[in-house]
Amino acid sequence: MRKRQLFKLLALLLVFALGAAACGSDDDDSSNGDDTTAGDDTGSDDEGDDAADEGDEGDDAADEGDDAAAGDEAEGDVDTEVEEEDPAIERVYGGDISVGLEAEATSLRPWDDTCSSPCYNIAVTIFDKLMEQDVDGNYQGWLAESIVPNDDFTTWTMVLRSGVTFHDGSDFNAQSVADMFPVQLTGGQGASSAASSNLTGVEATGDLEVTYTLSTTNSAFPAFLSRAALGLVFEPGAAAADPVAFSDAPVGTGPFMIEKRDIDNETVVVRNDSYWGTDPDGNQLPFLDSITFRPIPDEGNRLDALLSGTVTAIGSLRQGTIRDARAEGDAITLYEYQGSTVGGGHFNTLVAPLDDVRVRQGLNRLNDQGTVLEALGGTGISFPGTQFFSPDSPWYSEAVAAAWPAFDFNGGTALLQEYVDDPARSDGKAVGEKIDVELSCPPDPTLTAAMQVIESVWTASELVNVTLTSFDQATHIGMAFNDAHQAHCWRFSDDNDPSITFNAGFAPPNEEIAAAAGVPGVVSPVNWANWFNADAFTASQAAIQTDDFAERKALYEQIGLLMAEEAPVWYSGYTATMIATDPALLGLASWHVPSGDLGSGLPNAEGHWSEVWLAAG
Amino acid sequence: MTGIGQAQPEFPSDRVGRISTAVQTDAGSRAKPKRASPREVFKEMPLLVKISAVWLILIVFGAIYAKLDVAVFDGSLPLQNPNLLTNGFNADTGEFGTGDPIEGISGSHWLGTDAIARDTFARIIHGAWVSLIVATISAAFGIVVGGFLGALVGYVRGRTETVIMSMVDVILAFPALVLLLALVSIFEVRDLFVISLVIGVLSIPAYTRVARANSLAISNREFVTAARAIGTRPNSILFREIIPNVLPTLLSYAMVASAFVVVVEGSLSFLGLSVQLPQSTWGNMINQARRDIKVDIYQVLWPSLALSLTVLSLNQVGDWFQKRGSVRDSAL
Amino acid sequence: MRRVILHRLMRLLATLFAVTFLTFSMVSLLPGDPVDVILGQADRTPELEERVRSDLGLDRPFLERYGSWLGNSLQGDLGESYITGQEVSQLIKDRVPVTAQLAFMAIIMAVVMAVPIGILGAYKQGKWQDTVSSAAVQVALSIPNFITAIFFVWIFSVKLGWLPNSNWVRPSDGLFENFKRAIMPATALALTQMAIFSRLVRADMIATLQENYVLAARAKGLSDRYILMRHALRPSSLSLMTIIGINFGALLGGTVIIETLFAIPGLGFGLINAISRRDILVIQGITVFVATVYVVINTIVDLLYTVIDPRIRRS
Repeated sequence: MRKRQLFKLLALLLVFALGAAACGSDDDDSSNGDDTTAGDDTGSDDEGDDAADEGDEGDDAADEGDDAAAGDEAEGDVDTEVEEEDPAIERVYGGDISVGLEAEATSLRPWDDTCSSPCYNIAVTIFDKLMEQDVDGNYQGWLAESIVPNDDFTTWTMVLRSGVTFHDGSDFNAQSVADMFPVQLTGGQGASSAASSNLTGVEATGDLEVTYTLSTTNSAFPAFLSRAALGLVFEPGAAAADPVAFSDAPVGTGPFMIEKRDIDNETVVVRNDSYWGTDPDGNQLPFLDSITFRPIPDEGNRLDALLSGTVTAIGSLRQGTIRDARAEGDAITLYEYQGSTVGGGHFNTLVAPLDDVRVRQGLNRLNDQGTVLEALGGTGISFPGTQFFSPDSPWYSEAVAAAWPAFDFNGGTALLQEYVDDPARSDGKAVGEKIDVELSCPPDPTLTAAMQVIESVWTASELVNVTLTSFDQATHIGMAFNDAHQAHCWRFSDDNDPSITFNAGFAPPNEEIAAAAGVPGVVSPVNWANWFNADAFTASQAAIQTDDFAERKALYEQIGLLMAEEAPVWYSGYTATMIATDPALLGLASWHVPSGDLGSGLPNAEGHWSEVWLAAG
Repeated sequence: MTGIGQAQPEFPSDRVGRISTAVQTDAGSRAKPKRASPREVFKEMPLLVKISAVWLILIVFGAIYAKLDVAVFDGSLPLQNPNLLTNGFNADTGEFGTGDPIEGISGSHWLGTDAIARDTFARIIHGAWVSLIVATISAAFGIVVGGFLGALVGYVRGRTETVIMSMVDVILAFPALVLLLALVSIFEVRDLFVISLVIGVLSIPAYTRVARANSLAISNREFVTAARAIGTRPNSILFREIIPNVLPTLLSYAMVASAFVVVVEGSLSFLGLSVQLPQSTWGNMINQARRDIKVDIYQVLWPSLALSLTVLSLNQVGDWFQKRGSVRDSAL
Repeated sequence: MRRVILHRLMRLLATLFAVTFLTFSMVSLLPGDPVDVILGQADRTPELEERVRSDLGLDRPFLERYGSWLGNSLQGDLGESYITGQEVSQLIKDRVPVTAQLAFMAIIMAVVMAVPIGILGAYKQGKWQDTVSSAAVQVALSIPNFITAIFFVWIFSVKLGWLPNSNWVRPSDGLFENFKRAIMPATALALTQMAIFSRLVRADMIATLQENYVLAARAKGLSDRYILMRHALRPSSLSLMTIIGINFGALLGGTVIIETLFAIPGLGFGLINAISRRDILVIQGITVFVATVYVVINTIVDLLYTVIDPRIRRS
């Protein structure tokens, strides 16, 4: 694989590599339902409602005012409704808090490094984004005031907010955004995001007007400006001068400024007194004086740290931790979130025996999802997955849910048997010999448990030799990137526009396949399953040619059905995430976009800390 | 320097003379040393040491039993399948199990079940196999290679001694756990035998030092001097006089060293850097149960007890043998 | 005397050379392109790969690379992590105080506990006090420190809620807060050391009590307590010092699990983090550093011992 080619294509290392790995760090934004272009509303809430009839959970997403911390949700469902904080509560300035995160943000160069959930928490205090997703999943301006496409979605004109300055006092204007682009292209994440969004040029066409030029149509382009690689605004001069030093002393326009960076111990940000933002009542933001972010990798330790008062808030992407946090009752405030991110894994469909659909279908039918979910931390936290969209998502498809292979031991064993007895079996082994499969998950205790559940049923078929391996997160991602994997634990999708996941996820995995498909040069290193289906690829491309929701949904549904047929992946459940806080900490979930609308809440345990305050007393 | 890490404090450098130099000289040069029968030895033990010995025998027996159950009898011996999820799909019955994760002690699960509803008792017994193999292989390696080198250089001295002991010092210069972590993680070792071998190699220096100290002492004994005087070939002296006399000390040292090795393997497993799952080890059981420590402490407690009691027993028995050896020695 | 010291120093140099060489070659021995190994799975660009290549001089022969690496290391430059962008030597500098604090606390606690227990055991040798304390010491020696730590956390953090189990605070940011966080991990580390030390003290005291001058003192009618403190403890403290020195080096490595469990930003946790990121240069740097400290401390202890104890000097 030529490296340049890698970057050239559908990218997304960004969203994906983070989400990558099932390793507990993925990123994504936002709430149920989302839609592409700014200002275009599709009434997604209702869609979400109909969709949610998944067996046992009574959906209650619509409009009830349930406390987000409620432990009485129907089994498997999590209330992700975002509500306004009570306006009667007095906003208080001052106070220092500390936040426990599951990992260190290994660097703070948004254009270069994978930004996962912990990284987002820190990054959005220092950097503002150009766009943000609101509570309805629409993309609204943040540092941008507006963004408007031309007729065929190849040119997007953005007008920026005025009067914004960087932490070093320099002005933020159109030229800053234009100057960021060359820096972004030098980084792994920036380059691949530019490629997958079709972005080729950024130009300052006025003091506050920026024009984005795309190589081909992308109706979902603003979604990319809400993600780290292209969306976070950094001071381009400092970044270009010394990218390595920039990680220790990042400069943005955000509500907080970096004070101290002590990797693997603490990152301290302090109030930016000249921040441009206010809350809808006109209160100058931010409220807090400082935030200390601490990596506490151990799930139990992190929750204990909150309970013992050593940190004010923690994030977690593990069901087991959510279960434990629920048991604490009123001692903490719990914000749960369950979006379209779905756990499970992918099969490398380029290697035998996983290149045979019978094996993949067989293994999928031997995937005891209920027990896997129990291993992930008990039932009642998340429910079994069937596709890249959760039942709360407007994109969720009943047809795909029905088509997805359900647990069927005899049926699965029969398929595997068929392969084993096939004289032309692809792994070249003799008829009757067991299939060898390597199943790999990162070494987190929860994933380790889930992995052993899957392994036990596969082994019980007496047709599969399963080798279980665990590599640390970085290696795990790298193995998928370098196609050194077989059955590989992963976390897919998010609540962003589907194009972010699908564009890159279903493009040809290598040059050979691209040429055969008639699209030479279109190669995606992040088609993790290396599964290429011409119809699915065509559908994913067609879906960014239009901004018509129904049309797009039908295309994504088509891809879902093809996946159910070909089974390049397997699913466990939708990923539940949480942020739990000291009850004195208020305003966390109810952050707003500058228009005054509520933001998307706390998907993926990514907090927005500017509107948070510590209640008096 | 310490053994292969911090738990072998008895043997600081230059003070190796503290090591018992148990030499069985009673029968002169050729005659086989008279040995007490195992039963006699057992009778000699104080109560605590007896209990320890019994525990060790149980662990060894359990480990072998568990291995036989899987490898030879295909799970037909009366011991539960350590990898069966009692709440999941059971291929033998074609039905979903009715067990629960993290159960307490019961008649059907003597030590309860773990986070994915597997029988903890069976997993502990199977975990013993890993500890047994790691301890045995590394001890065998240490005794054969380290013991031979030590005995050799203690006898021939000179340049050989300088060279070999310098090499030994270099390996000893690395804190064992750090070096082991670096090796295992960089080379991605997951095989029980390879891990055992790596630990074995790292424990050579400690055995070498013990053997050398004993060999030095023995080389100056009358019977060796006598053998030399009557013109016995050096090879013959080494293999017939020195090594047989160094061996008993090495064996009792091996018990104490094994205690450390079991802890080291436990640490590796605990960090997820040891053998491949679903094979249970005491360390990985502790690590996996730790997630649910708020719900249930017992699933952490049982493997912790198994590990600690085994280490305690190895120390007790090893110490006792060393003491016994040195008492005999000084009585001579 | 001087010859002995010189000899020791020569050996120190040789050992250091071997240690650095081994660590360096361990990384170079890895299969595959060293650039892949060093960058691991960092998000990389051709530019970064080029930079790594030129930074490391990969086109040069192995020995030459080792030479320049050693040269740089001697000047305190262990390279920089291409994954986090940190200077490895800076990272070590930041972390050493933390680990050193833990190790010192552990050793002080261990000595404070060990000396009375050891003396008691020797003084009451064979009596029930000896039996009980020896048994306790055996138990302390046999429970791996990570198990001790887990149960400490369960008792003091989960059940009682007295002590925080993470969220390290440096002494400069609050001595008491720092102490509250250090006490559990330090105790977990100290127990094993305590067991080791007290066994040594006991054995040494028993040996010393047999010596002629002690017997003479006893014959003179001096009280046992006086004898123990004035005559017996002093020689014992010599061997105690030796073993403390040796174990201090070992502790630097032994803190790996404890620091990881408590998320303490010391060298051990740094090593584990580096391992999980496959940050080879950091793994290499920390390993070399710890090994060097270990070697140097052991040499110093050896030398002190030689200087202080005339019996060794003679042999």
